[in-house]
Amino acid sequence: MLRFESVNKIYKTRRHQVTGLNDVNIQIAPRDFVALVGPSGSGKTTFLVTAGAMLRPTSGKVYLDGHDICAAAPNTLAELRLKKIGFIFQTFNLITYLSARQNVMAALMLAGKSPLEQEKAADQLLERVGLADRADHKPSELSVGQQQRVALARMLANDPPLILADEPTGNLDPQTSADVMDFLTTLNKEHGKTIVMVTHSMEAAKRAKRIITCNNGIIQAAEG
Amino acid sequence: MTPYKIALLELSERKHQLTTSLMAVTLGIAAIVSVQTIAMRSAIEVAHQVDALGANIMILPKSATIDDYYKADLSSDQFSIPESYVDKILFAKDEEGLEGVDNLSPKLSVPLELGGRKFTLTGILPKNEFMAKAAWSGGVFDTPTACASDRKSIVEFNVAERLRRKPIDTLAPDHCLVGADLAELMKLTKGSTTEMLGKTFTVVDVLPKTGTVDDGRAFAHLHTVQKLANKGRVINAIEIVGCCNAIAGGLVDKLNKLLPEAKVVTISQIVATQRTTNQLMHNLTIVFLIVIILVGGASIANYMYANVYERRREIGTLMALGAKASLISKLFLFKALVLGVGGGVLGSILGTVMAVILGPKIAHIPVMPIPELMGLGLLLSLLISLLASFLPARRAAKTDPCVAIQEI
Repeated sequence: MLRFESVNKIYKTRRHQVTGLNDVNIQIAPRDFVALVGPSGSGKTTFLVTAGAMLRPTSGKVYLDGHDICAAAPNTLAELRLKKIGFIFQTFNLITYLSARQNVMAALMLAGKSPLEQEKAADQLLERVGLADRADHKPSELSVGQQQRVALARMLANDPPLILADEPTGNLDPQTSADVMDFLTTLNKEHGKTIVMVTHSMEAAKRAKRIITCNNGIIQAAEG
Repeated sequence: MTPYKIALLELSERKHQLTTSLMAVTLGIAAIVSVQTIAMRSAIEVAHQVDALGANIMILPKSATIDDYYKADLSSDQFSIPESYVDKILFAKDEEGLEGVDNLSPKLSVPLELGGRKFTLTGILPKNEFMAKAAWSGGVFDTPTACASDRKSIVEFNVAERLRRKPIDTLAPDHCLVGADLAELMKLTKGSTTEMLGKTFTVVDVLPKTGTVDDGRAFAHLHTVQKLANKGRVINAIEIVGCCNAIAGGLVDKLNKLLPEAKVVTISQIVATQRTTNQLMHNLTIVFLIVIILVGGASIANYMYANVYERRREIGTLMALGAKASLISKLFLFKALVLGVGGGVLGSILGTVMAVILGPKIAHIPVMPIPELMGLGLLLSLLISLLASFLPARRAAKTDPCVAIQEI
């Protein structure tokens, strides 16, 4: 599903160079559920955005379902993100002036679905995350947990095979965190989704099939 | 959901910023539309007044002066030009686009003695003469149709006079018209006869008083006068009704080129007034245009840049979800389009209302809306909005999608 070959990412500022990824060689198979753990600044998020075709590495190759991300044109990368990747953000990143339904519809719109198809699919997805009765509410009218569930529904809109989650439970209370982790586990086990999750929570990490540790841009498989 | 709906929902969420930007564009467009509306109406009014004066260009023999013409002192042979010049102008008017010549009136003046007094007998080509002499006709003929003064109010103003009098299309060889002073002195009335240069003429009409040299003249058919004076096919002058705008636009130069052997003179003061007025209004419009482009454009660009900055996480999120750069550009350009249309429509309406209300107070003329200007105002507003938003939209399209994940 995802393969990193000698990937380096160096951030250059005027005075300093910061290593984001240091000779990363890793392969993530379909249906895998990987948790990336490590201290802040260790390269977790860099790994995630590189895997998500949002950041080009300084050197090396990244393959997503056989596509060389580093060589692809911006529009091809957008297409890849649309069809193959679902993002979950720590801060949910819902569009504030759109209702829950409209947020999900926006993702469906990008896939070229008609407004009618969007509405129908959005209602089904919101029902799936238990928010059918909150479809017309704006994010500010929803609890933090509900907002994350809207984000989950939006992530599933285009049925992506790969889910990239950036601290999905970072802003949630323990119960909601557990619910979100249950949801992700189900997606992995029952729907065959490949999940790469960045987390600081060891409790969440333990729900993954394997944990990978990041440190100073060096990524090592710790548990399998 | 469509990109346009997203853009509209976003605009409606930021009402204050939207209102401020919209107001900047609206006021700018309103200023341009109002000034331009007043300016155009004023130019039309001035042009009309000049056109209403009648002949405003004289074609004279090279050696003659305008004073000679007014003193009717052109009887000497050296003060003659061929009648064929009329054809030259007419031909050029049709074939070479000598625009702005609405009427011409060739004239040959010869001295005349009646009852011991000296007068002038002027040969004219009837309809042309009358059409050129608006001061005489008092609206007998319509104002020149091709002129800027293609406005009905003055014509309507003289409706009563127009009904009372009929245009004279032809002038028989033994018919004449006499000026008011000449008629009074010689006790001539309509239908009476008089002898001039050995030929008996019937007075077909007495012209109303104009306060010009024409009051002391008799008018007969040009070709009759040419025969009586033994002068052949020559004339002393061609009076031309030139559209005011055409004169300002170089009609005199064109006539000079066409008739290098003749002297083309114009009522320069009137043209200069028109030129000055037009130039002033034109300059004022340019000033407003620069102000609106700078202020309106800067306001929209500022709004858009701020919008792109504030919405960068949202842009990043959309990109992470699979939005292409072109869609992001489209979102921002659509917002610009909404601002442009909104500002254009409001500005055009406000500007027109301002012109209609303030025009009579400022320019002392009635001002009517000019729909074309309102359309231009809308177009200008759109253009400014889209141009000012081009760079912000491009910046939005280049947003690094990683901002979706970074802490902002």
